[in-house]
Amino acid sequence: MGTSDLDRQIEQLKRCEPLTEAEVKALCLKAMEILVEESNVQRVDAPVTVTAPLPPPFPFHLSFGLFGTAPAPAPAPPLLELEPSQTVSALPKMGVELGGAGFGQLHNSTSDPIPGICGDIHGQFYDMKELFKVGGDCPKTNYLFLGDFVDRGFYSVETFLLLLALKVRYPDRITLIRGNHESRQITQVYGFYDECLRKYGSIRVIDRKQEVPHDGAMCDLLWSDPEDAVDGWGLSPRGAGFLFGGNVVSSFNHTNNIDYICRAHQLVMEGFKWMFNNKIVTVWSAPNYCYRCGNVAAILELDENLNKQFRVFEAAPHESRGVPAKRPAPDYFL
Amino acid sequence: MTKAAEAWEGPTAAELKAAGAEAIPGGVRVKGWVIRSHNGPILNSASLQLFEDKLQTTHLPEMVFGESFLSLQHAQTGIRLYFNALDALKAWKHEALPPVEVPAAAKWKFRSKPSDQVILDYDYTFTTPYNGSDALVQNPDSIQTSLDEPRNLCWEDSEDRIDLVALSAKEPILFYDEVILYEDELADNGISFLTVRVRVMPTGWFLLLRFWLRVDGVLMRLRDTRVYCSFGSDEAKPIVLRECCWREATFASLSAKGYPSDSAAYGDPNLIAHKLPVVMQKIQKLKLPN
Repeated sequence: MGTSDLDRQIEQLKRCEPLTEAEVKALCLKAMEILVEESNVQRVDAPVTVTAPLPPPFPFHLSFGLFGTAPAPAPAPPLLELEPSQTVSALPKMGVELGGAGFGQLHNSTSDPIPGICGDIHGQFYDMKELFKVGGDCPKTNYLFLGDFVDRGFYSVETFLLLLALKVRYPDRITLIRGNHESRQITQVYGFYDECLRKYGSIRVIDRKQEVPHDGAMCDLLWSDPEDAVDGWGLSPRGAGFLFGGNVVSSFNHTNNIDYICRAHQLVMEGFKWMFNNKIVTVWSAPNYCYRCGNVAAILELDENLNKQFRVFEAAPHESRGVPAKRPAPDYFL
Repeated sequence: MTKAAEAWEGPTAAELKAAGAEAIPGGVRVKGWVIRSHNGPILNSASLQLFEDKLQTTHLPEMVFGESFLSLQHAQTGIRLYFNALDALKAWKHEALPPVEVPAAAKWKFRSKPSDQVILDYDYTFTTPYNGSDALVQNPDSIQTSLDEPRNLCWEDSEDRIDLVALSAKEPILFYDEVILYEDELADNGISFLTVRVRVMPTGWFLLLRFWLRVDGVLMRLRDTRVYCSFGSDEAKPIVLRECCWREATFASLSAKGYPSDSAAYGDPNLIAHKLPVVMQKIQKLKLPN
């Protein structure tokens, strides 16, 4: 797959036109080659460097096994084991990256373009285009996407393929990490799986190497949330899933010598939300979520001195979406 | 949803005129009723704080459409029916059901955990017995200032049934809306939402308030409240019937009956309501104030 092919595919995807199945397959294989070379701890090029430094006493369940230095009360799941015989995609590798990018250390380095850190997209393709308008095109801007690319919106396929194509074309300029929606189980319920079947007929094309397990580091990274009501650790009323409070975040940041944690995954009306005295920030990048919430979205930009700027943006105007504004159609419900 | 339905631009002037109705901002005036709705955004941080204070909780649905409402008011009798998120969440807080464990909880019990963890036990499904707010408003314009506390309406058990045949007639629709009051994705363990839909026809209005919950792999709850007003011959004496029907089933029980057990099969409550056994049903008639 040559650069010109890729450029053509990127242009096509920017018009929200999906690729052929053969092109998708080739793209996934190419993306895998690139992602396989990336390590668990993924550095994002300057001015932000994202590394994942060392864990204990932080949440052992978040760290053990992932970095190999923490006490491991239970065996860690293998995060990446590629078997050449198996159809694999780019996604499993992204899960691995999360360890790095999800909890990163920021230091300044060379004078590269401004990086943009983006939260959830959820298949809102036209709103992602707004995001690129606000933040600048890739590769001019260096992007870090925090996962949850798919599900709920109408264009998960196009959204994810565009990000993947950009990753293959500009591997050093865009970093994609895995969100909890990048799993078979979740996509089967929330839309991406059906959308793939509808648009390609076969889900095998974008099969995963590893499903998200119910235990261990990978699961915890994808399913834990900060919580005001606890100081230390909390267990969700669902009986599964951890919550962490201000003390936990402070001690993690202190141990790892980082200023703050940047994460996504939770909807916030204002596009971003600080918690625990600016020790952790949630970034949300899907404006007017589910096409009805009326929220704005944000990306976080860091300059060479790590100064923060949140760029807030709104949903794409209806006329640019190619679909009519949604007006409730009357029906004779009973 | 058909293409024709999507293109619906509201009732025609002729339809309104024939029904003696008048379109007003966000609603319709017909046969002595003023019916209005509003769809607003989710709560911002400041209003979220207000809700948290009023409800004495820090746990609210991810999407609370706090400004959204449906209101139906009858000037001559002072009857006012009103549907909003705050009252629905008050009812949730009051009912306070025990939390539902997700399937992963079984495995979770055996894994290592921090020794000092706090177990949160609020009802994260936001299950509510809410069937609407009502009030008797003496002077319709004084509701906002409400110096005198509005009295509640009186509902009496009834043997009557909502006339589904009348409701199936394809009369012109003079006003239609769907208002989402709140919604939560249960951190990707299912769905919980509360919505109210209304349609107004020349012979009456009908609304459906629906709480829908699916905890993937565990259970589904459907709590429907249907309210029907047939205008009748005397505009001063509207007949209003309210039917509450609660249904609930576990995935295990559905699976035992041979129904599918994957959550993807249960996306649309309309299609599966009949598979869920009824756990509570009551029909009430609104007693007209003297």
